[in-house]
Amino acid sequence: MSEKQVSVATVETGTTKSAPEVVIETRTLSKVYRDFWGRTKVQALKALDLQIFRGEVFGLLGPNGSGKTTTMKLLLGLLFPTSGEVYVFGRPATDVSKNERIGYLPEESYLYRFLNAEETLDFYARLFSMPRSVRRQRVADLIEMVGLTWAKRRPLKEYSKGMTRRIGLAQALINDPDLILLDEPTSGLDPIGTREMKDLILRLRDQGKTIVMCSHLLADVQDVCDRIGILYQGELKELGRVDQLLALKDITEIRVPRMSPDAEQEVKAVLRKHGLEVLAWGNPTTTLEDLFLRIIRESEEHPGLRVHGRGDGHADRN
Amino acid sequence: MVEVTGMPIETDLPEFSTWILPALERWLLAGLGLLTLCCFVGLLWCLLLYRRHGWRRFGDLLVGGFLDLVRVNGRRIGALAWLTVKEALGRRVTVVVLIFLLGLLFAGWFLDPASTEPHRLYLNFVLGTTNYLVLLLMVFLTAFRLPSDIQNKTIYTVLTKPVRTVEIVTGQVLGFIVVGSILLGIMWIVSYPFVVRGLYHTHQVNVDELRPLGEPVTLPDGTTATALQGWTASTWQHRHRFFVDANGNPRVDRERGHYHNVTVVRSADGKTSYVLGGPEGQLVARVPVYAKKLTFRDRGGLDTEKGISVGDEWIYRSYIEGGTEAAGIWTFENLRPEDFPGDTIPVEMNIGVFRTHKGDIERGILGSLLIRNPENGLTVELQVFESKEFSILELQIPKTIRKFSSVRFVQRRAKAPDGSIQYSPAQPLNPELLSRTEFDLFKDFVVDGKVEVWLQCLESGQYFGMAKPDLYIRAGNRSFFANLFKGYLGIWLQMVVLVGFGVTLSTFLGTPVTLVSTLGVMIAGMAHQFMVQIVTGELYPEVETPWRGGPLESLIRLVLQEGVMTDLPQTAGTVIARAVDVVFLLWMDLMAQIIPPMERLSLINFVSYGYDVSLSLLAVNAITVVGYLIPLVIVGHFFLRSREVAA
Ligand SMILES: Nc1ncnc2c1ncn2[C@@H]1O[C@H](COP(=O)(O)OP(=O)(O)OP(=O)(O)O)[C@@H](O)[C@H]1O
Ligand SMILES: [Mg+2]
Repeated sequence: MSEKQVSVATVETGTTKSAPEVVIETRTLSKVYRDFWGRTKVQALKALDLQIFRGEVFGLLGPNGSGKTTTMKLLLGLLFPTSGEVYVFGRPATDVSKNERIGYLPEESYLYRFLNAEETLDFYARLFSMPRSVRRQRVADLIEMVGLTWAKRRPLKEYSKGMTRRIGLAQALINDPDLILLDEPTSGLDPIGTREMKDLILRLRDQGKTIVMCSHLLADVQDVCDRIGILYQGELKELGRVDQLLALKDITEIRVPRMSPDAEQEVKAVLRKHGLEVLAWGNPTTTLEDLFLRIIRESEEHPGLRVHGRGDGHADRN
Repeated sequence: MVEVTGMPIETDLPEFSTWILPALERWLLAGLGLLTLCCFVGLLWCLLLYRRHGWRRFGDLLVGGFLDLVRVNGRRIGALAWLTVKEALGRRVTVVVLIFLLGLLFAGWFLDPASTEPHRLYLNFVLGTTNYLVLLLMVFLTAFRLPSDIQNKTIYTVLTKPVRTVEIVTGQVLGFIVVGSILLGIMWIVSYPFVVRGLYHTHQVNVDELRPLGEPVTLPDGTTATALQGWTASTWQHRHRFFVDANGNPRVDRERGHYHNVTVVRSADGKTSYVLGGPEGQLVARVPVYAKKLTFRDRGGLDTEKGISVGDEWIYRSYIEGGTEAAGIWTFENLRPEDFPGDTIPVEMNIGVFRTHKGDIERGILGSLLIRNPENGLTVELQVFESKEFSILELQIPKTIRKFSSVRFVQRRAKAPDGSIQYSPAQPLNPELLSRTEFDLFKDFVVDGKVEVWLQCLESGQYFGMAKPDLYIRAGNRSFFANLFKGYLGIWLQMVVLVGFGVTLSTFLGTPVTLVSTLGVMIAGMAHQFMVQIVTGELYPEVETPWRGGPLESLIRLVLQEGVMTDLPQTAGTVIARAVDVVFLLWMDLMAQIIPPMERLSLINFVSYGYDVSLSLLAVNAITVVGYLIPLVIVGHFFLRSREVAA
């Protein structure tokens, strides 16, 4: 919690020296979609307070239409907040120069269909200031990385969904960004592609990059995300470290390497002596899916803000 | 004396040096007005949308928007322009238009070659169609580009790069300009041989049909010969009068705007035949030297700024009355002998004739052309000519003028503000000059490059109408090929303005509305002159009411069968009608300021009538276009920047 206070101060004074650097910060961020006449259509996001730190993989979860994409667009400055603020790298999200350090993979790859893979990447690369030789190299490397070398001269309109997704990813990484926003990165990818994508995300994190992703595939999120936030109908319902969120607090888990049958008997005896029933013997775990569904169920029963329930030390807010 | 159909220039051509400063001033004022208006509307909009955060949003928008303008980057603009070119050239419609335009060149060959001036028909057809098609193509392309980018969401991947919206707008404008330049460049190169080829024809001359002309003359070598006269054979439904002088030199008369060079061929058996070449003299670029100013002398002999108006359709022409002292006085400046290498200086004029009684309609009205020394008043009559409506008269001023009569001293008389008459020159002319019979044009009439050319109508009851560009001196010809290029440049400039409008409108309108609005700008721009006339009241100058008779009032007059000169009864209806008209005129006034003068940018008439487009006019047009483009790009930038593209 002291962490948070320090980092807020960091943003406000504009210095960046304190340890866990805040990359993204939103303050009571809300978005209302209006029609041409200014009438409210949807309240897509309600008072979102969020901080994302440098070097973490943050997952944004939520059912369809819960406001994940809306949040991303607000972070990118593609939408303007109805109220509240968004800061990216300490600058307002509408500041274009922040984009120098950002990579974005949209929900669907919105690319120019009349260009081929090479032209596409070259075009996006030219929007950044990098020398010609670096540009050439990066384009070739990225095409190689996403495994499209065999199709790099074909116009994108002939690409399959997965291929388009791959070139979209390459496009997001063209500037070697510090912050990468991935909107459903694994959708449309085959199992191998999915695996590669997850490996890539972890590799990028190891390089010190910050990644924000949203996804429906909970297993994917569980595999790669350090922290997650769960959105439901535009409200943040849960926020915390994945390992802590998944821990079941009224159940104690003891992990011991290679426990012998003797030791097992003794431990069970001790537990019995204390009147404790052994619920399970093995690997105590739950899946993200369970958590996800439980939260949604709870939210339907008790509407209202349910954020900071547990986990990452923000509980003092409630 | 040669007659060619005159070019109906209906405005004074602006001279760059005198145009630029007032234009700049107007531009800055208009820009300031636009800025204030936009700021006001923008603030209002921010306040409505963001209520109490409105002020901050507006401040961010304004400051951020202007900072963006400073941070533009050429590389990014280049990339975005490249994208636009790539997209536009990939569109089938572009290819179709190009193929269609090339097809036009062929179609031109099937235009009626028997028309009075086929070269004009051809050039107007090719350039005119190219003009409209290229503009329409650009309207179409610009209306689709940005809206479809937003609709397909491809704009997301661009806007999440460090791209400023001004770069997107500029990149698109430049991209479309490149596309248009490619089309027009191809047309320029390809159309020239097509025009030449399309106009090519020749005539046979049957030697046996030539008739002797005049008496036989004795040639220096002692033989006698007779000049011959006849007609060439008819091709494309015209023939030329054909002469062979006593020396055996052949010549054809000009017909339908052209003539042919003739070569004499003598066969082995001593027979002479004549071979005519292709048409000459129609694909030219004449260089007119216009007078600095045109002033008038009224029927009593006093100087005036304007002549009289006879209620003709061409308001900008003033009239002088025949058989009186009235005259039109063109003052030329900066004439230098070295600019006129020949023995004579050609003068061309295109005088309007207003007849109060018909007389012999076939015969023109007689007029007189005089030249006067502006310093000492020495004046001689150069020529008496016959003027017909709508035709250019070409006269020659010899550099050595021989006159036995008509040498005069002419004083100009002007009424001073206090009512007294001032004479210039005040001193009478040295009488010795009046008795001379030979004058040198540059020594005796031109003073510091300045000379006056006077025009008078000799028949009483008839009128000559004139405007400054109607009489000019011709200084040689320039290359037609280069002039054709300038013609395409005129189309190019129109295209650039229209692209600016299209792209800017598409930053906040969808495809259909952009399409219609840009089309509206194009059409209104082509009727710009008309709009200005409505606003300035030139259309009905005789109506002296302050309301000048707007459209609604005109309609009422039409319904009531009232003439424009009578006063309408002061009923509530007329008052309301006039109020509506005032609003309408203000609106038209605003539109006349905003809508680009496409008409003036079009140089097709110059090319087809065979006038060189002056660099001065090109500069005026180019700067006008830049003057439109800058605010358009800025406005587009702010619109796109303040727009939630993802909403
Ligand atoms: N442009 C828009 N105009 C109006 N409403 C919109 C717009 N975009 C999104 N919405 C609405 O806002 C809400 C949140 O949408 P959003 O796209 O953020 O959801 P999401 O969480 O990304 O869903 P998904 O998982 O399906 O991608 C939805 O109710 C949606 O209908
Ligand atoms: Mg989404």
